[in-house]
Formats: sequence, C-alpha cells, structure tokens
Amino acid sequence: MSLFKTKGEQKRGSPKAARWILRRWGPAHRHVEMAGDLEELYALRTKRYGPAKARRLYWQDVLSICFRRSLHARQTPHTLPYETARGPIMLKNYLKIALRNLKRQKGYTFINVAGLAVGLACCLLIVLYVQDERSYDRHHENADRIFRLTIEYTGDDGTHWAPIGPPVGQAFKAQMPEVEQIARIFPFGSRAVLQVEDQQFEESGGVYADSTVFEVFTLPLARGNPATALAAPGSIVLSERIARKYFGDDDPMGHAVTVTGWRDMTVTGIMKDVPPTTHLPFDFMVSMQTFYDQAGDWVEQARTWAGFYTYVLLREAHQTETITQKAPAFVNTFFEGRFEQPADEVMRFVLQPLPEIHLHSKLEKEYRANSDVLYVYVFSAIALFVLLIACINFVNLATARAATRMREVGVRKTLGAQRLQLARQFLGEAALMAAMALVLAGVLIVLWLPVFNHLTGKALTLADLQDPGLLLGLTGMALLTGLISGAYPAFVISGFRPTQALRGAGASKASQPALLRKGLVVFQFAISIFLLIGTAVVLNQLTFFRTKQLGFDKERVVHVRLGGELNDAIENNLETVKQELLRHPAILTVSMAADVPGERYSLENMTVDGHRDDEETMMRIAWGVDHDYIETLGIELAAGRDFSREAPADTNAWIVNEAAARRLGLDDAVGRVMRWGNYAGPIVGVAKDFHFASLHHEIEPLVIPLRPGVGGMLLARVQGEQMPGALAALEATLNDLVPGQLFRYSFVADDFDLLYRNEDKLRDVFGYFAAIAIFIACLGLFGLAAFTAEQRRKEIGVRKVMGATVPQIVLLLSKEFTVLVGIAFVVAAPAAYFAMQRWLEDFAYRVEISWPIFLIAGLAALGIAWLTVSYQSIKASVANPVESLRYE
Amino acid sequence: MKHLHLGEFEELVLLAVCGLGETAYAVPIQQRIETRTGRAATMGAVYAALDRLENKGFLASRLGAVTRQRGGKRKRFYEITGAGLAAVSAMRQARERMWDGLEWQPSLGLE
Repeated sequence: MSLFKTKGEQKRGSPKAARWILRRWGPAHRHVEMAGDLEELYALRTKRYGPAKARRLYWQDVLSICFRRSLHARQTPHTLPYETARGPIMLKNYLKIALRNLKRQKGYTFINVAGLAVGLACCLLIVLYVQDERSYDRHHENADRIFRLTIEYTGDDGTHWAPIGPPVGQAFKAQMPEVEQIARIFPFGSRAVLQVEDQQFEESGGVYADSTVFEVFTLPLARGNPATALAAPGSIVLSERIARKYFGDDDPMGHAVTVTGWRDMTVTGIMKDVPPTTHLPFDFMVSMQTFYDQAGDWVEQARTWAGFYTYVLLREAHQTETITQKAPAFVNTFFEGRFEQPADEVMRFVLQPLPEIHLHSKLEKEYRANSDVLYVYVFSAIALFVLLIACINFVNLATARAATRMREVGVRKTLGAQRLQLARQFLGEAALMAAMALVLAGVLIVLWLPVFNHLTGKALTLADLQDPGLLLGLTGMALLTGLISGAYPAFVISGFRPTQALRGAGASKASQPALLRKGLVVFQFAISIFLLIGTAVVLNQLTFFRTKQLGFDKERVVHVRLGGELNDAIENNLETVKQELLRHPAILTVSMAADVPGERYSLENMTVDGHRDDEETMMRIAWGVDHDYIETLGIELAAGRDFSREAPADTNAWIVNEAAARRLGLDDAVGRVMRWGNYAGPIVGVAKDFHFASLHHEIEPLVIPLRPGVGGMLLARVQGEQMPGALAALEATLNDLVPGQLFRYSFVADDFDLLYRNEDKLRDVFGYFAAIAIFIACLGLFGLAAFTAEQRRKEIGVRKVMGATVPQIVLLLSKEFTVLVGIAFVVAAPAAYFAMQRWLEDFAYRVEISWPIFLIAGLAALGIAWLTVSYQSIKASVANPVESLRYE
Repeated sequence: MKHLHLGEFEELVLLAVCGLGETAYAVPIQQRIETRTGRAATMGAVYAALDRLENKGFLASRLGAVTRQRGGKRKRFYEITGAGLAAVSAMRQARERMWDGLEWQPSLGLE
C-alpha cells in the first residue's frame, strides 16, 4: 500500500489505486456520485480516525461497491433518460420536436393539415348525406313490416305503377290473412288552396287518407284521437306547421277549413310534422270518406285505375313470400273479365319494402320523384376519392419531408434511440397532425353545411353530427390516415444506419420512393381531370337540355292554375273570358287545358276502328284540351288541320303526334276514327313530334282529344317582352271574375327546368368536388414542388454559376410536373370518356363528347399545375447561388 | 403490487433517510447509522439498500445540482415516499404489538 503513496496523493488524501479501481471496475453510470460520496467520507474519517484508518475504510468501501453485482445492473432507476424513454421526459421531447418542426415548416404544415381537413370535411358531409338518404321512412315503428303494393304490367312495353286501383287494398286485405292492416293515400292532384276565414294559402302537400293511416304509419298526433280523426267525412288533420300558419296560437281543433273546390272541413287532429326523410311527405290529410262521398260510385269500380298509393302492414316481415305465391290467384279473381287473357299473365303485384322506396323505386306516377341510389354511389365514390387524394398528399408530403430529418434520426440513433422508439415518434407526429386536421375539418363543416344543404336540397344540421358512432368513425379515419402517412418515415427512415443518416447519404435513399410520389401526383391529377371532364360533359348536356328546340314555344307560355270557383266560372264562359283576355295586346292566344307539357301524361289504351283488329295500343294522352291549344303552344302540324270551331264534327276529334301515327302504323292517320273508352272521333291532324316530356326519353306516342272546358289550367301565349303587363292583365281579369282568389302561375319553361333537377344536382356536385379535388391536388403539388426545389438547391446553384438563365431553370423545374400532368391526362381522359358515355346513354337526346372538352380540361389542369409550381420554381431560380453553395 | 418485505438493514436506511430530511444522501445516511447503532456499514451495502428501497418504491431519488463541494461531483438525494412512510410505520406498530404486555423490560440499547 505504501507503494502507492505519493506526494500529490497525500495532499488529496484518498488512495489513488482505489480510486482507479472504482473508476475501472465500479458501476460506470453512477461513478460520479459514488466517487463524490467516498471522497467526502474520506475527509470526514481522516478528521475523525486519522488518515490510515480512513484509507483502509476507503478501500473497503470501494471493494464493497465493486463486488456487489446489484450495483452494476443497468436497470436501476437512475440510468440516462435516452436509455429508457418510458417516462414523460421523452414524450415531452417528442412533442417539443414535433411542434418545432410544424412551426419551422409552416407552409408544409398548412398544406398537409388543410388538405387533410378538406378531405375529411367533404367525406363527413357526404357520410351525413348518405346516412340521411338511407334513413328515409325508417322512422316508422313498423318500417320493416310496411310494404307498398304496386302493380306491374308484364307486357312488352310493360309499365310498373306506383299507385293502384282504389278497391284493390281492401280486397287484398280480405284475401290475405298475413295482412294486418292497409292504408291508402290519394294525393290532391295539384296544389290545393286552403282557406281559413278570409285567408287563403296554397299548399302542395295534401292527401286523402284512410282512417287506418295511423295504424300503419307512425304519425303521432299532438291533438285529436287517432282512432276517430279521419273516420268521418269532412275531417281534416293538419300538420303543426300548417296549423301554426293558419291559426297562430289559437286552438285549431273543431275549426272550419275550406279546401277550395271541395267543401268545408273540420279540423279533427293536429299531427306532428312529417319528417323530411320520407318518400311520402304531406302537410294535411282529409278523410278518405270525403273523397268517396264527392266522387261517387265509380271509384269502387275503378279496379285498374292507377290512383291510390296502397300500403300494407304485414304481421311478419318475411310473409312477403307467401303473399307473392298467393297473389296470382287473387289477381285472377279480382280482375276477372278485365283482360282477354287471364289477369295473372298481364300483371303482377309487387311489394316494395317501405324504406327502399326512396332510393330504389322509379315507377310510373311516383308520389314524388324519388332519389336514386346511383347518386348515393356517385357521392360516396367522390367522397372516397377526395379523401384518398387528401391522404395521398399527406403521405406524399410526410415522406418528402422525412428526408429532411435524416440528421435528427442519425443523432437520435447515436444517442441510443431504438428503432421502435423512432417509429413511435414519427407515427405520433403524424397522428398529431391528423388531430389538427380533424379540428380544422370540424370548423370547415360548420362553414360548409349551409352550402351543402343548398346543393343537396337537404336540411342537415349540426345536430345530425352528434352521433357517437359517426364521430368515432371520423376520428378513427383521421388517425388511420395519420398512421398510414407516418408509416413510411416510421419504418423506413428509422431503419437507416446512423452513419448513413448523418452523412446525408440517407437523403438520396429517401428519394428512392420518388417514383411512388410521382405516381401519387399522377393519380391525384387524373382524378381531378376526370372530374373536370365530367363537369364539362354534364354542363354541356344541361345546356343542351335547356336550349334544345322542343318543337313548341316553351319560353313564352304562361300557365295559370285554376281552382274551385274560378274553374267553374271559366268553364261556363270560356269564350267570353278568352275574348276579355285577348283584348290585352300582349296576350296572343289563350287556351284552357288539363295537361301542359312538362308534366307526365297518363297512359291510356287506344283503338283505331277497322285497323289491326281493333288492337289496343298504349299511348300518352293530353287531356282536357280546347280549340286553341295547338296554336297557343305553337305546335306545328305535319298533316291535316288544327281543331276548328267551324267544323261541327270536331265535337269529338283527335290530333295525334307523328310518333303515335308511326306506332299505329298509319300512313294516312287523318280521317281514321280512334276510340278511347266511350270517346270516339276522327283524327283531324298529325302534329310534328314535340318534346312534351323531358329529354331523358324518346318522344312517346301522344294523342290529344278535344274536350273544351274541363281544363283546370289556363294557358296564355304572351308577346315576349311584355310579360309583366300580360301577367297583370291575367290576374286582373281573373280577379274580376271571382274576387279574392289566389293567382297561381308558372312558365312552361320553368316547369321544364324542374325536370332536370337531378342533372342540376349532379352538375353542382361534380363542379364543387372537381374544385375541391383540384385544390387538394394543387396543395400536394405545391408542397412537392417546394420540396424538389429545396432538394435541387445545389444543382440549381451550380447551374446558375455555369451560366443558366432564370427561364431555363424555371423550365427545368416545371418540366417534370408537366410530364406528370400529361400522364395523368392520358390516364384520365379515356376513363372519363367511357364513364360519361355511359352516363349519357341514359338520355334519349344527348350531346356528343367532343374533343374540345378534353382539350380544355387538360389545359386547365396543366395551367393550374404550372401556376402552382411556378411560385416555387421562380423562387428557386432567382435565388443567389452564393446562398446554396457557400457551404461546399 | 406484491407484498414488499422490509429487511432489517433497509429499515435502518429508511429511518435514516426520514431523520435526515432534505440532506439525505449516501454519506450522512451511512454516518447516521454508524453513530446511532454502532454498525459500520460499508458504502456498498448502503448503496445496495438504497437501490432496493428505490426499486420497491419506498424512496425516490434525484441528482443534486453541481456545487463547489467535493470537486463538483453531484450528490444523489433521497426522499421517502408515501409507501415508504407506510412501511416504516407498519413495522413500528408490529414491533410495538409484539412488545405489548411483556413483563421483562430490556435495557434499551445505547445507554
């Protein structure tokens, strides 16, 4: 021991050898504190026992430490923070680094978060829409047991009718024990005018309903007794909305309401407003007995009349099968003698499940035009694409950005970070970003909801969002996106060796998935271009719809709905009223009719005397037409003449269109006698085909019988610019005739516009989503361009030093993206062509998809891409090369 | 948590930490045990006991700041946790219950 005693050591005290041993063999990670402790003890002991004993004890302590294995164990609580990273220390560090990164790269953060937020918001809105569409009629407690009874005629040109004959329902119930109850709904033909004291309101949603309607459907009454409310004739049940409008806060029960043209009703019930999610919306119900009393006996005989919507409530939902088996026998007995063949060869019953009517039913004479499940699919597909684009961006930018963090990864690995830790860090960062996007998406939804409601004609509210499943799903979606996008940096970059990463070799390795990133850009632009072309085609088709010459004058014809007293008054002095109206210089011709173009005419069976064995042919019929109809609408004749007051034979006469003549196989239609039930008369003229219905369909055979004075509608052709004056004159004249009547008019052109509502909707949806898709794609491109410019900084610097000009460099940087957009175009154009061609096939009259559409869509995409990239490329190319090269 | 046994020497260390309050680090702990019980524990034994107590959750430790004392080498300070307090008081109560009712009074240690 004395060997080790040196002078310096004596001064410092503790034995040098022991200290060396402690440093060499003691637990390294705790050396500092232990050495300190021992030194301190040595000083104390020297004072107390003298240096010799202190030295001995020092040796003893050192050896006791070195030989105690437990002290060497690394799992002791106080190791370095990097080595465990379980605690909140690392979490705090990760969070700090993540926030710093987000802050330092504000542009990237914005692009990423905004892009994903827009995608999420769109997707959520569409989920809401789809959810709403699918919720139709499910609010009825018995929804799964309610079916609509419809009749399908099985012939060649078979038609499937939503409403059926009035007596069918009761007979059906009597024959089928599976049927618990039936309820029939018969809508008021057009808008009804309701009068309470001296107030008049026009209401569109009025129906006659069986008293059993409350047993079949869930229609809670706020006032009144469901068992009796619709039992007696003259009973009316109002919705709360209407009741409030007419009666304010007064109690409406027992009050009188006049439905003009019918009779006085008594309010016997107030029902809760029917929710908008039903295929059968109505605002008031009049007892069915009221209709029977006024209409007379023929109603019970009208077995084949498609008039009443008939709903059956089955005891068990699955009994549809037994009913379908028994139905043909019922059809045969019920319709016996109506057809030449057995009835079950002509028609069959079809039971439509109530909740499916809204999306899947497109029958003749639907209560309201239903939606189409196709739109649900289109919307869903678009939502998915937009979300996909947003996710792609997210992944794209995250991978691009990850390369810039090679050094950090290298440093972390050097300091002992495990691969899994790094993976968790990157995944966590991505999740953080996704969470931010989620919050922003929430804000966007609040802002967009009104626009979206306008677009879809729905009344979605934020309350619809408070569905925990929906919110959970959305959050899951956002986090999943985050995780997927974090996956690349998490698992690829974390696998690099620290030396590689630190040397920057990783950067080149990180750009290996450049092909993938380029592929993603191509994909995004392909979708955008697809949507652009789609929008253009829909727009073209709609313009075509609106501007196509229909073969009659739709622009200048106004029609006025007459009701009740007014109708009676005009029927009785039609000619006087006409003369009165024609005195006004702006009004050119006036006609009274029951049907105007733009409405769906009914189909009836016609026979032509002595032709084809009196075979019946189904044709559309324009009913209740007077002598001036053809002239007022400006329909041209191909053969024969117009109805004439001078020709006495014209009391019963027909004008048919060319399609009808062709259908009948008549070259010489004029002069033939055509028969429809007990209406028979000569065909006096053949009208050139005109589009009396929407352009979705071919022009159907149409027959026009002369039946003056049973109209219900007044048509007037007006001198173009003098519309306001003409309308005023019409209103004044009608008001003189019957004072205090509501003046209800519309233009035939507007009625036609309504026929293309679905296409309008599609155009809007395509347009908006194309804009959003392009926006998101551009965000992605912008970020990527910035990244590329950043990566090629040095290259650009060298090029500039060597004499490259700014335009040359801008061109260099833009070239790559131009190629990508070009590829996207090549991918998207044929796909769009075929998809839109399929869409157009639904229309009998359609536009050609012409090459300028593709040219414009492609150039627009390219232009937008250039604009997006140009900011970055110009910025990169005007930069001083000194900046980028000074570290070399 | 499984039942944590408190060894005899651990009990002494724990009590020493209690008694020292804020200045509890290895050196005074060792000194206190030595002066109060006459047992000259090696530092190895002290460190090992401290580690065990910390692993059992009876003690918490932190590194002190760098000061000018002892060549700038930092000290590791110890502090008793709630679980530690519960453990020593349970030990004390057990002892007292064992002593309770014993006629024979042993002379208490240090005098």
